Amino acid sequence: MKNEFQKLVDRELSGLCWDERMRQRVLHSLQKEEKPVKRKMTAAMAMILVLVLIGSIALATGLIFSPRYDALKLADEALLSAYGITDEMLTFFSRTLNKENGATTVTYCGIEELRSVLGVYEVQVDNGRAIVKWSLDGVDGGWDANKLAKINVLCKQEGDCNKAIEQAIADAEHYQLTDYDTGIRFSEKEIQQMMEKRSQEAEAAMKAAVLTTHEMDAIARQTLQERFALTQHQLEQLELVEESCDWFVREDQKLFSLYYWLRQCEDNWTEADGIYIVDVNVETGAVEEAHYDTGLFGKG
Amino acid sequence: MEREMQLEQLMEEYGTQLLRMCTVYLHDRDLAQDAVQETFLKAYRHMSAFRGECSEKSWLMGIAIHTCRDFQRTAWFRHVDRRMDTDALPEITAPNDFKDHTVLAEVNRLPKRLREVILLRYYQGMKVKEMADALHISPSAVKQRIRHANTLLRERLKEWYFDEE
Repeated sequence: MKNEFQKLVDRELSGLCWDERMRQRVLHSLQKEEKPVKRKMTAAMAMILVLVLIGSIALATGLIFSPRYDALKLADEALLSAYGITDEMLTFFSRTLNKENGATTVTYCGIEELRSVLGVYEVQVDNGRAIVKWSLDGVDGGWDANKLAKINVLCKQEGDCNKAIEQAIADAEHYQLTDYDTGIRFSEKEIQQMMEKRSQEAEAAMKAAVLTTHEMDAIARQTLQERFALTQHQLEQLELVEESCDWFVREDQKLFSLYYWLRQCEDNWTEADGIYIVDVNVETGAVEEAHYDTGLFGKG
Repeated sequence: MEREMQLEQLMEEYGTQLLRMCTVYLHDRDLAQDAVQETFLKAYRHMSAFRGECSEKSWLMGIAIHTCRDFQRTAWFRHVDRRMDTDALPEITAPNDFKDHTVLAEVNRLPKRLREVILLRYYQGMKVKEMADALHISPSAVKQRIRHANTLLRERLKEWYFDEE
């Protein structure tokens, strides 16, 4: 298989080669990144300095959580209290937050392979209150928290989620559950534009950073300890995966996403093992998001 | 300067392999180019953090896989049908004995965590331990994924022979 597959891919994609143009693109991006920027003290920078001072005080005295963080935490808690969905179970979902006309909605969409049986949870957050709806509430075959608890045990035993996927496919067929479709489509050109924008925003976030990555690492670890009750020992074992960390902009906030991996035992999945992601505002140090994934699904 | 030379070497040695792997992974040539560019930039930025605890190849492939996952994580990606149209592949320049695109299409149909192990194992020729390092999962989880992917592919590609896991 090995040699044949290698040969096959190389033949099928023989028209695709790393060339001088791509090499130049990388080197050009590198030069842009390394260009020294002369900065003048502006009103905006003075403001940032004030924010940093506030941030430093916050570092010494406690964490700053943004309204987004609070809304997401409230939504997670509402999901737990209304439907019994735990942080571990959230591995099976992708979470997004939308604001429209002053209303905040947090959507938990089941991941690709299990979407038909998991459906979608929507949490409306308003003034510290949250209302939860589930698209498969009362629908035969939908996987509720009881089922997900069993699936979680199965995934941990297997160290993988293959059997869960087989069950999901069988249940979806048996109960004739259909996949959720948002109906949103983008053209290739739009995608390309978004990619370019993303790259420019990453550069802007990196340049705007007032906190060092070391300081943001400290904030993120403190957040994880508080949010997911990690022990001191687990925090020490938490590995920052630098190459998976990311600079980006969301809703005009310049952010750094810190990506951690916890693996307490070489061969088996252990309680609290997995991926932890914390988004920190690079100018103020405020925590924007904290996310946990057991890593059993390879979602990244 | 030394870092730039290292980067040049990485691009020279792994550029084409990475580009092809990311194309199969992301089902999109243009996105794959962006992903490989991003992979090399991340590698350059973190070269000093590379402590040699795993091989250079595992390290770089790990970055590439995580970059592809990041690309897929972005909101727009989840809403676009990105199954690769094999007719849209660039013209084959090597002599081609293969009459159709069945195998590649079947690999594309695999869930992405299985596609990852197939690409690393059979395209990049990596060992289980190297794959575990790259994917941040245990060696036993890697073996399980390879076994599962092979089971699916063996069913779908009956004429193909699998001689190992």
